[in-house]
Amino acid sequence: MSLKKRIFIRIVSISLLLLFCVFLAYIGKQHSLLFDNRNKMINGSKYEARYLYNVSVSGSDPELVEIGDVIRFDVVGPKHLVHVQILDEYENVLREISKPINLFFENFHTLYLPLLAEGVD
Amino acid sequence: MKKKFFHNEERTFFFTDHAVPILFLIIVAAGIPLSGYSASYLIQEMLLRLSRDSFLVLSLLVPIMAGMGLNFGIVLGSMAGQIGLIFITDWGIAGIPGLFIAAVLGTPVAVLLGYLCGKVLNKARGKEMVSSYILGFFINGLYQFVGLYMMGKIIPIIKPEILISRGYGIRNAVSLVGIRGALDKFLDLKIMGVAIPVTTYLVIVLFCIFIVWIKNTKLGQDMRAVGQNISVAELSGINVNRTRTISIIISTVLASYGQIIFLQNLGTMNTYTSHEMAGVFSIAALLVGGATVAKASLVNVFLGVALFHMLFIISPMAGKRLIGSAQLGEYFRVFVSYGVISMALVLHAVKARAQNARQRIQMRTEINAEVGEAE
Repeated sequence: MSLKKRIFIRIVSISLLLLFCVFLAYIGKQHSLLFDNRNKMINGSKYEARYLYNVSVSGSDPELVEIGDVIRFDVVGPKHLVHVQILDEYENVLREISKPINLFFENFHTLYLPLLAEGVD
Repeated sequence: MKKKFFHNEERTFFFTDHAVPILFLIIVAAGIPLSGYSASYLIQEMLLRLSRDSFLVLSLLVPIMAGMGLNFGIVLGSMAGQIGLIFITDWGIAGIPGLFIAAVLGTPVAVLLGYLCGKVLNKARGKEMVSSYILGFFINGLYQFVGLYMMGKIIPIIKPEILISRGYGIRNAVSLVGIRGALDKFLDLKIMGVAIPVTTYLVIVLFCIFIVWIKNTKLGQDMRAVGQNISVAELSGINVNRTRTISIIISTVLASYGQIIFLQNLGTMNTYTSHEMAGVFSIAALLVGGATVAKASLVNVFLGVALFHMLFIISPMAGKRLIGSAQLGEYFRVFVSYGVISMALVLHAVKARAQNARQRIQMRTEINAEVGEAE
């Protein structure tokens, strides 16, 4: 085998290995999902935290998010389904929302629950 | 006529050749009933420890094949593996992908360190073991410099929780919660309440196949030739230094993978101490299995790990029941296990000296006979 061909094969092999590593990093990346139930101001509009929420991520046990609270879920991988139950002050379920989320290489991703309740992305 | 299993001479050789494992077997056999542990507990612990340590111990076989003795330089590979683990913890990559990336990151570092180690050991022919031991200390200093000073200051580290509070330098304990048991639990088989980490054992089996395969390659044959006699190997055209360097590189790279497997099982990493004992523990286990500085096999690896770690499991409880203190049992284990290892090394030296003397006498007799015939 000529030297050029050998070097070419080596470079291609290393590149493929690196690409595979990037793919593995994408599917194995840990993310922290933050669920924020506090008042939020966006473009001059104020979204008030008025409800309680039961939040679960990709079939995990639901956790209650009280008004003014921020909770954190640690997840692995890029695709998750967030399931949110909107509750009144007596913890009766008013509405349920399911939202698929796609994550890339970010460490943190925040979901503002008052905005989610209002249907704002 | 009934054939005797052993002739007297053979029996003597068998017991002197296998003195260390036989001694360990006796100690373990006496310790098991004293410890009071159930069979299922002992089997579970043993399977876990075999899966955790075998890979590291297997990485010692290649340099022995090349006549370089017990490679204390696997500490270098362990450091390389740990560097990979620090990065994947910082980048937050979990599970099998995390392990794979840690191995990929550790590989070039291990190759570089292995190359350096090989070059140094070629300069210190005949004194490989002590040289690799001291080299481990030297590289440990560099590793500490990188870990305590460069990481977070020159090498960017994203997660503040793995940094020391001053803002740079990796903490002494790094949690590997993302990869804890990733390989062990990937394919977990439970038989009668005993969990078997199937994937880890598959990786170990692959490694064993690799060892058997490499023995039959051109490189493996060269290594064996170099291991048997350097001068003859050189005369027959083998590039001895290159062969020795390659064997050390292979050992170092495999040790880095071994350390990754070891630490994923523990789930936590002592950044500045985890690698230090990798060499001593692995070499001790190999010697306990009946290996010598010049000869080791796959059987020695598994027997050694099993016996050495069985003593780890039973000694505290046996000590507690026998003397009333678990700590004393642990001291007893340290005393017995390292005493036996010292004995193994001394026995090897004595045997080698005796063999040399026998060879000298034989050569003299042959020469005298030839001279007599000529006269």
